[in-house]
Amino acid sequence: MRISTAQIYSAGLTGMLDQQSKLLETQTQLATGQRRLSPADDPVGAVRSLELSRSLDRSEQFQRNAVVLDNRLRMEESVLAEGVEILQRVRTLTLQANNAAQSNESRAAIARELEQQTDSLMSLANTRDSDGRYVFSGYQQDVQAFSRDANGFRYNGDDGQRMLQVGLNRQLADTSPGSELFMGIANGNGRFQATASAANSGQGFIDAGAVADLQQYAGDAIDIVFTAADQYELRDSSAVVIASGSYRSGDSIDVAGMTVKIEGEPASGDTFYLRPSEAQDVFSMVSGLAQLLAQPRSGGADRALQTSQINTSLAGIDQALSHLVAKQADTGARMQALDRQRDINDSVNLQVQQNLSVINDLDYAEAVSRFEQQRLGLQAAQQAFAKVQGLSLFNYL
Amino acid sequence: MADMLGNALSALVSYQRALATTSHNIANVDTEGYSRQRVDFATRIPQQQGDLSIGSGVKLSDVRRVYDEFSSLQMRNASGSFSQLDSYYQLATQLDNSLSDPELGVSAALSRFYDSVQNLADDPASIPSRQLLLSEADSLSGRFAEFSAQLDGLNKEVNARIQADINDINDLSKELADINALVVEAQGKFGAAPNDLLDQRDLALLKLNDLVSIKTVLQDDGATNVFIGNGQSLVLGEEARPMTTVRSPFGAARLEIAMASSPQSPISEVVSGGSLGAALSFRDGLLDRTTNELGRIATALASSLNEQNAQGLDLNGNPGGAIFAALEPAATAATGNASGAQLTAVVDDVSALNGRNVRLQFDGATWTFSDAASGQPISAWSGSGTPADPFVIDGISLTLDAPAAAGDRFLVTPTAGAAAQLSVVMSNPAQLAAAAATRSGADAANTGAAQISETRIVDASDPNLSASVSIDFISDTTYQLNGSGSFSYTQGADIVINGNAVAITGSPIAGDRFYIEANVGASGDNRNMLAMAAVEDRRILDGGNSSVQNAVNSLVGDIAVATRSAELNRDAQENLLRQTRENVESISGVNLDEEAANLLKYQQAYQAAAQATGIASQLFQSLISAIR
Repeated sequence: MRISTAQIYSAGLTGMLDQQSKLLETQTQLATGQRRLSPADDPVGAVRSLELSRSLDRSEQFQRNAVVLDNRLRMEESVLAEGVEILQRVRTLTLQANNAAQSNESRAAIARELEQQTDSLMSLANTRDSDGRYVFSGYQQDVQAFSRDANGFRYNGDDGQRMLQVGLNRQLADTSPGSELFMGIANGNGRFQATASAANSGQGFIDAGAVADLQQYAGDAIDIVFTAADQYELRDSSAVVIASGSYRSGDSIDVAGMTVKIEGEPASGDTFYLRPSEAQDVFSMVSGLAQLLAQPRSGGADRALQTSQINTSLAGIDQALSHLVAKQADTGARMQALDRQRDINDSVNLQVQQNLSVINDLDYAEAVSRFEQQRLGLQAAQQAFAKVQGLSLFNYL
Repeated sequence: MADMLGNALSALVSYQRALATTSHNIANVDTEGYSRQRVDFATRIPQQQGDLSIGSGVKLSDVRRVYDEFSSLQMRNASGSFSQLDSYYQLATQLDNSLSDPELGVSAALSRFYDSVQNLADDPASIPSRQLLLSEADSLSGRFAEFSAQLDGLNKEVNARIQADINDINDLSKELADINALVVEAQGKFGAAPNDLLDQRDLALLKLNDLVSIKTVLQDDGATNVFIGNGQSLVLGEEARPMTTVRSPFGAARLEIAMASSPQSPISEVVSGGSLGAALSFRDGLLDRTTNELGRIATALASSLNEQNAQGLDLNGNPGGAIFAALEPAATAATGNASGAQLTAVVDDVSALNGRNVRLQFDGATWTFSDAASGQPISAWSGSGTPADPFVIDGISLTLDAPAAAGDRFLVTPTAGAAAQLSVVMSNPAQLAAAAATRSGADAANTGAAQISETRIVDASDPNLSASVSIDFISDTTYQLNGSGSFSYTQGADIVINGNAVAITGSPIAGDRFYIEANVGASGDNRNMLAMAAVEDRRILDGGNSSVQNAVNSLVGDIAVATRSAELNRDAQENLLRQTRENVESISGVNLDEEAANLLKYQQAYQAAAQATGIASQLFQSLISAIR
């Protein structure tokens, strides 16, 4: 084929320019470490990279959420652990107070300590976070969770419990509201409370009792009325006698699924009540116990009444203890779930990062060898251009 | 002897001219559009002497350019296509590059915004977290504004390119008209046009075709007429018809092209090809699509986040206000509409929004809706344009403030301006509604083992949404609502009242009480923020098929694909152009070695002819001396 002089020139030049632009592209890739210099270089990769970047950002945000949640759950757990410790101390003190060797004065001292423990519990329940907001008042973080007035203890918050997003499809509960942690504890033995009438003149006292048969137990209110020092009747809420028996100290009395023991010497006319448990808060329980112990007692009847009361309260404290321990376990379970979720997030993160790297990052080994090849190509094109341009018939004229 | 001298002289003259042509070729080795010229030799008419015919020397029969009509036309077309694809590619690359930085894109800003929503959900009472959310919202709208400014800049560049191309086209038309005049004159005088003039005209046509696709018709008198579009003449014989730019009837920011002679009606839609065609098709295609799509995303984002914020309660216990300014579509009446009626557009349904612009035309009796980019008629619309019965199209309702007149035209750009207008109107971070409107609770004295779920808002518009509701169990299996009725308890089933839904699980006991109440003072509630974080994944666009993030990603993908395919087309066309150019060059290009060889050949022939005159002279001398 015939070739024009301009063609020889432009073919050489185009060759060099092409080589140069390829070389520059590889050079930019090497300088930035990016495989893709603009979205158009790899549209699918560009979109995929956007999606993966978002997944990465997201799971990093979930990890940050998880750290926040973890700190809060740790705080809740330590508050509960401290609460458990206080209640155990309360229990020990109560057992001490119930000892016959205690004088009115020493019991009053114990009562004062119990009051202090109530205050400690209150201040635990009114824990604030670093921003001064109440941790245990549900959604209403700006109001003090628990307050005390003439009518007793009052919860000012609500039942709200935040959820935090710690995974793409995973929300975990934040700090529990105070109403759930410190309130709603069934007093007595958890099912019913056994109490002695304040008007009792004998020296019989009743224990906290237990539910012996859940099938039969229906939350009935039963009165145990002594018709003689060794005879009692069981009456239902309409004062109808449903059974009667002869009393012997320490024998258990079974009625409507419940079993209680009365000890000591009750007098005729003495009455003991079996009533369904009521939901109570832990502060009232401890504080009630303190008030109980603060009262001086004289004589056997007083002592028997107080013993009955202490028995019931002690059972209530046990209920509160197991309530707090259960909540502690609940918090622990959430922390474990959170740990697992963080592990999952970490592995998702790693996976996404690897995928992103495959899409975005330059394969240096490949790029460097490509660069060398292109450099060689450009050199060859330049040499060829120079050589060919030297060829002309005019050189020989 | 006279014969011999005559023959030698004819050769001297002919080879002189041949040498001149060769040196002309050498001189123009680098001249653009030059076709090499060749000389054709022919014998002169022989002298008849008796029955012998004696040769009477040589003459130059023709100096012609080596030129192939077909190859040249092929190159002109290839060059025009390349010019179009290259211009388009340059514009698309600019758009693509504006998206290339992942840290600066809309996608990254969206990501940071939703992270800040999560952040606030972690600690809803925190003012710094609230402030952060607002400032991320601000920077998000800033990204939209900046991107939209870049699109605006591209629009300006398109206008500048159109203007420059029109100027070049007018210059070339003028040049062609001038060359036509010279060609016609030469053809009239000498019967043939000078080769160099024809080369110049071919070059001017090639350059013109690079600017806009042309059709040419060669007249008998040698002039070439040039037409564009669907028959608009640019050059007629010796007359050039200039083109001009006019403002679009639907907005001054948009240049359209027209012939300079009145009525100057726009012919942009019929003109194609070349760099001008590329600028127009880029603007009316990819650029408009991107602008509209970006606006559609902005509209969806603003409306969904505002809507979610309105469902909750802010730190002061009030329903959440708007975070972003509401974005409304633009509807423009064409300048010169007879009625002066104005059209107002309102977005009804974000999920039905479409990236297209819609043109409305009234012929006095019926309305025609068409896609502004393609001109295709649209049949999916309804209504009559009155306030009672507005036009409804693509999720937008359109109302006319006065009756339209025949010939009135309107352009509806549903989302074109939205990205630029996206702005944060909320200034007080306390107004972010992190809390849900209501909360539920269980009475502290409940003895049953039942729990109530959080309230879920099923109808935020219920007027009694925040009214207190009590759910009292009158037995273990039945409950009353607000002290009346008797409903049987189903574990876990939704109890819906006043736009709230709650579910109770576990075993309640007669006397247990649950309640729903206004969520006042709930600075620690994050339910509405969690819902706002979930907006990210909510498929609110394209009839419930894509989320905002999906739409942003598709937009990036669409632009990248368009740029990529523009690049591939351009590269393919460049190869084609290179081949056709080589083809033309191999036919018409000057080869210096060839010319050097010709120089030698003609030089030797000239020298031989000179020798022949010398011999003739010697012969003459011999004859003279013999006689003397």
